[in-house]
This record gives sequence, C-alpha cells and structure tokens, in this order.
Amino acid sequence: MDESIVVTGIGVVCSIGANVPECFNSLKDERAGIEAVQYLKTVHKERFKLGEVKRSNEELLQMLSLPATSADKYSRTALLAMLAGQEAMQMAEASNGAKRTGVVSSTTVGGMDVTEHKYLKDNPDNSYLQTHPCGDSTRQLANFIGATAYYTTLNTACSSGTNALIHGARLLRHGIVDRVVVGGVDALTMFTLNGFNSLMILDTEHCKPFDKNRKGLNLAEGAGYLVLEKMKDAKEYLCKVRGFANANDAYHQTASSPEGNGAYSSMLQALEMSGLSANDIDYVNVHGTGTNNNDLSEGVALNRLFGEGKVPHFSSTKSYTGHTLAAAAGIEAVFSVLAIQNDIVYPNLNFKEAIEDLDLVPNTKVIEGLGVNHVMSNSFGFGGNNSTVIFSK
Amino acid sequence: MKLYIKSSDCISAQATFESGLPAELSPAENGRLSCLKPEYKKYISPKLLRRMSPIIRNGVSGSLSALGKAKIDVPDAIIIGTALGCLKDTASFLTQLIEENEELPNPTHFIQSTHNTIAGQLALLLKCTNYNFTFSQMHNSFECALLDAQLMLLDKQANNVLVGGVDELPDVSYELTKDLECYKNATLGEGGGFFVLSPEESKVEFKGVRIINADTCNIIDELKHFNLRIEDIDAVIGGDVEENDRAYSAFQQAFNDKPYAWYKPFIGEFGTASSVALWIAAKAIEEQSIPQCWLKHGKDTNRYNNVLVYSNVGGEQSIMVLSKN
Amino acid sequence: MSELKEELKKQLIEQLNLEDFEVSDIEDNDLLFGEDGLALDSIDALEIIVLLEKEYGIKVADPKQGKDIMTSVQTLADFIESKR
Repeated sequence: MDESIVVTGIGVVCSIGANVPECFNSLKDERAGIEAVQYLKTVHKERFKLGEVKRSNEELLQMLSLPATSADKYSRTALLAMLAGQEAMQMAEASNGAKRTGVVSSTTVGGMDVTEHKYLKDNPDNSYLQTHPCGDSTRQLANFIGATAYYTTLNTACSSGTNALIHGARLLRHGIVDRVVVGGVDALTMFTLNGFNSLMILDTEHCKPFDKNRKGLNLAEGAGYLVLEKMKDAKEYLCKVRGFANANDAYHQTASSPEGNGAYSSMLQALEMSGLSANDIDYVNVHGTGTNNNDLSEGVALNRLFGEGKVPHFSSTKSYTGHTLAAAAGIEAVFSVLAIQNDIVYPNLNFKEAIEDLDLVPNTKVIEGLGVNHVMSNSFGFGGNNSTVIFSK
Repeated sequence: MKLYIKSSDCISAQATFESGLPAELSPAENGRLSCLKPEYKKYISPKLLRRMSPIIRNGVSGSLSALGKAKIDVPDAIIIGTALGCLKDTASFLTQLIEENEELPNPTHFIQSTHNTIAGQLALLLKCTNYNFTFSQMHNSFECALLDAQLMLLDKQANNVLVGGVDELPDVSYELTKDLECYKNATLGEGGGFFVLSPEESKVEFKGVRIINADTCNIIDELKHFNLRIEDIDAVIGGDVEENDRAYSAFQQAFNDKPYAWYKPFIGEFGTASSVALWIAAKAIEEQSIPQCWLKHGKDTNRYNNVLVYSNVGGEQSIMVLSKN
Repeated sequence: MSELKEELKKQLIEQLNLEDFEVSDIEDNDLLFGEDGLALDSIDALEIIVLLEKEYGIKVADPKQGKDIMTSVQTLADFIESKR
C-alpha cells in the first residue's frame, strides 16, 4: 500500500505578500519585504528594519470577514495563522473535498503581541491571559477553518514548523486524521525584537545570508501552512513529502556547533528517508538567518553532506522575508513547493562575497527551467533543534 | 505491538519524587500548591543550575530520574509537553522591558524563556542528538507529547522515548491566573510527570492516549478503541477540582462502584496536571494499591488490572489507559 | 582600582548567579572563561556586556571585541579604567 504523503494546499502571509500569488510574484521580482518599522510599537523603531506583514490588525480582521468588535479575541499571531491557514485549507478542499481535518501549528511566543501591551498595566482587562498561551492561536485557527478533529502546537523555537509537519505526517499515517494543516506562525513583538537584540545577532541593515560580511538577522513575522493528505486519498496534489527528520545538535543553548553536527544529521536522515541520493537534490532552501554562527555552521554541514564544490543551488529566502521564527519553516515549505510547481530557483539577495574557507556561493538570480524535482528545506532553532524536509515532484 | 511504561517519576506538591504513592497528603498553603523541591544537585551541576528556573530544574531532574530508573543513558527521543512554558523567565524579561523602556534587558531570561529550553537542556546534558520535541497545547500539552511518543514507537522509529509534562507557577502567574473563570474553585499548582515508554516489557502496559475535542465524551465508545468495556476498568483517576465538579460527575457515575481517585485538590490545577495523573495510575498498577487518602469514592481494592485516567478542562478532554502486564 | 575589582566581583556573582562563589573565591587574574577558571560561557559574556553598559556606561558593540576585555577581573577593570 502506498503510504506516501502529499501536499494538497498551501497558504502564506509574510512581509512579501498576503497570499501565495503575491509572495510568488515578489520572489520572482526579487522584491524583499524588509523595511522601516511601520506597525510594531517599540523604542527601537528607527534602529532596525523588520519584515512586517503590511497590514494592521484591523485590516487583517477585515480580510478574514471578522467584525472589528472581535479584535480582543484574537492576537495578531492568531490572525496571521487564520489568514494563511484559510488559504491552504480552501485550496485543498477545492481539489479534494471536505475531510476529517486536524491542525498542527507552531509558534514561539504565541499571543505575546497582545500580552506585552497589557501586562503590568493597571486595568482590569485580563483578556490577554486567554490569548497568551501558544495553543491559543492554534485553537483559533482550527475553529476558524473547521479543522478540530485534532489540534496541537509545537514550540521548538525556529525549527518548529518542520516539526509540525513531522507530527502531522505521523497523525495521517495512523489515521488520527485524514487531512492535516501543518506549519507555523509568529507575529512581531517587542519581546522577540529585544530578545534577539540582547543576543547581539540583529543586523540594523538588510540582512546578508551566507555573505562574508553578514552581521545578523532581520526579525520578521508571518505564517505559512501546508495541507497534507495520504497520496491514495488525494485526487490532486501539488507535490510529495519525500523525507523529513529532526536531530539535536546537543552543543549549546543558542549557538550551532562549528561542525554543523545537528544540521548535517537532520539533512542526512531526511535524505535517507527519501531514498534519494545527495546529487538528486536540485535546490536547498537553507535556514540561512544571516547570523555569523548559523550560516557558518550550516555551510560546513552542506559541504559535509554534498561534498565541497558539489552543493546544489541554494539560497536563503530570509533575505526576502526576514526571519519569521516559528513561521519560517512553514513559509519556506510553501516556497519550496512553489519552486517545484513552477520549476524555479530563488536568489539569495544581498550576497556579495563568499564566507572564507567555505567557498559556498548561493544562487544569486532567478533561474527558471532548471528541472526542479527535489527540494530540501532546512530549519534550525534554539535548544540545538534542527529539522529538514524534502519535497519531490 | 504493545507499549510499556518502563519507568516514571513525578515532582509535585506532595512527596512523590523518587517515591511511591504517598499515604499522607499535605493541604494547600495560601491557596496554592507549590512543588516540593528535589535535591537538584544530585542531577544537575551547579554551573548549569544557576541559570535554571523551577520549571527547567523540575523538568530536567524528573526526566533524569525516570531515565536513571530505566537504566537508559541516552533516549531515542525526548518529548516534553508544557502548557505555558518557562513563565518565570518570560515574566522577568517582559517586566524588565516594560519597566526599563526596552533598555538593555538581560539576555539570559530571553534565552531561558523559550518553551523548548527543558528538552534542549536535557539534550545538552545527555549529549543526546536524537529527536527532540516540545508540545504546547494548553491542557492537552502532555497528551500530545504522549501521543507523538506512542506513534513514534509504533512506527518503530524509536525503542525508548522519554516523555514528560511539566509546568511552573511563579508568584506572578499565580496572581494573574487565580481569578480566571476556567480556574474557578481550583487550587493552582505546578510540577510534572516523567516517563520512559518502550516496547520492552515492564509491569505496566501503556494502552494508549485519546484526545477528544468535544463538549461530551462517550466513554463506552472511547473504551472500544482499547478493546475494553466499562466493567473492565478497575479504577478511575479523575481530574476533579472540587466535590461537585460538573465535568466529572457524569463520568464518575459511569464507574459508580469503582475506586475513584482524584488528584487536583492535592497537586493543584495546571496545564500538564494530567501527567501526574498518569504517574498515579502507573503506581497504582505497580503497587496494586491506592492509598485511601487519594480516593474520592470507593475503597482500595488491591486489584488493579486496568486503570483509566480522564481529564477535562473546558472541553479539552483526554483519556489514557494503563493495564497490568 | 582594588575597589573597582571588588565591585566587579560582586556584580559578576550577582548578575551571573554564581551561587557557590564568594568575592574571596575569585582571584584578580583567574580566567573567567575556560575550565581552569570560572568556566563561564558565551551567555555569560553577553551578560557581562550588559553589565558594562548598565553599571559603567561603556558600550561594547562587537561581541568579538569582548573576548580580550573579559579574560579576567583584572582585564575588565583595566578596560573600565581606560574608558573613565
């Protein structure tokens, strides 16, 4: 029996677009979304560029056909999740009908965007205690799109979205659900901006992943979801989920090991599961945050896995979107599916000079018609958490 | 394939750690149930301990104790459930941000505030490069972690999995949450249960976990998933917070003549309290006894083949079943 | 200078939660990082950067620059003196 798992829907919202077509056009036109701060309330407004979703909460409510009076019920995190989740779900339902559906979402700070404005304030409004837990945005999303057969939330920092996919695939295989929406979401918050700033890994300019002179990441927000089904149950599908893996670096709480052990291990295990060999991979959507440590460690791991000089086309689309934390893996999974569907490889913006000793040059322009059949996507996070997924035509 | 609970441990407001089911229970103090602190230095070096908030200390100590009992150095997977994560560090970082107007908050609080700090610290301590997951789905956080472990073992992707549920109740969140509607009549608590699950035989078989997102629960249908009937169940561990808890009364009636244990009045209400309930169930089977002080109804029968754990907080329901091997 | 070093030791113990240390346990030239000394790590280094800015008004923009400054309590004190 063919137990293959396929993607039957995709949905995304991030700094380069509020839906799949908008984001794809931005990717093709090399239009980044990292700009001066427009929405986030912070004293660092003038200092950092962010990848904001260019919509206010009021506008997001409108797009979701929700009354403005319900604003208190939803964190921005929930609204972003609902927008992208709805798009993905509608695509799957349009081609494959209604099914018993669950949601596996991920977020790092949940409803912190609301909490940080109401906490310690002298008012009796404690509605933020409802929106604060990570599980809230997932429950809201599940209720909104009618996918309550099972719902859960993963929080393994910035690798969360791929881990959501791994858990979701398991649910499908065991028949806990017949369709599952997987991915992640995070809204920009003063909390995470100051947090990453305190770690001194934010670039005040537009980030430069895999460049010798990279200075750090640009924080961003968004949501990205895939709909997964068993191939035998799907009339139509976009691509296959061929392999995935999660491994731990067990090196440091926030930094990656110089040998890229966790990254290497997650890529290798995903490759083993896919039954493909390294040279079958046509494009790698790297984690590529633009921090000194990540890109070096990931680069070493890429060289180890593929062999020096044999690393396939790769790029970090965080140079377009910024780093959306728990949403990153979901958003980049959508971009990976689009790469296969449209036979396209995206550039790594802002790259000038390779990192010394690594000799790795990312793809710097849009390439079409290459024959993109197999795409690997990496997502790594705090706590040494490393995840890789492979999509195939 | 059958799965077993190879070992377990529990940290709570009662003397549960490195122990059996306590035969005496202490009441709540000032309306809350704080954890009895284990001798952390037995498990964690002072160098690491200095940065750890209670949830990380308890999560790591409880996990290491369970692993030690199972004689496992490095598990094939580490899966943790936590409803609210590292609240104390989150609150410290946030308070600093707000009070000092975003000037120079201390990075340590931010680093330690991520939900996956517990599982991440375990990986670091054990040099465990394997699968490492953290679930956070409010009152089903532990159940989701347990389900992931169950499915992973059934898929033969692991031979032993460390799975735990843990939450903390720092002063700040006690003050904030004590008046919430969903915690009405509840005494707030903290702690967690930690387990090694494996296909290798032990005294306690883990039949499985079911997560139910609905207003009601048809227990007869649910038990069919485990090939069990109401009469097969020898004891129920229910999550009631008060004598006439509406969510549980119908459930209790179905098992009218069976010993019915409750635990939330003794260990408190928190997101992953059901992990403690599973520990109680495991101990009941191991020891073939439930001390009378835990029983809300019925008498200790000293005969426990199938024990059912039921949890329901605001419609987020779950059922877990353990059997004597 | 010796007053400054005392103060620094107190601040390090407090800020880095070095619960098992007293001021008298830390020699001026003890290595802050590395197993032979206090065995601090990169998270502590970030905390020391915050400490320098908060307590002494000194900004260290590049964490790499911090390495030489943070060899020992002595080097930290020298650095602070040089900025005064």
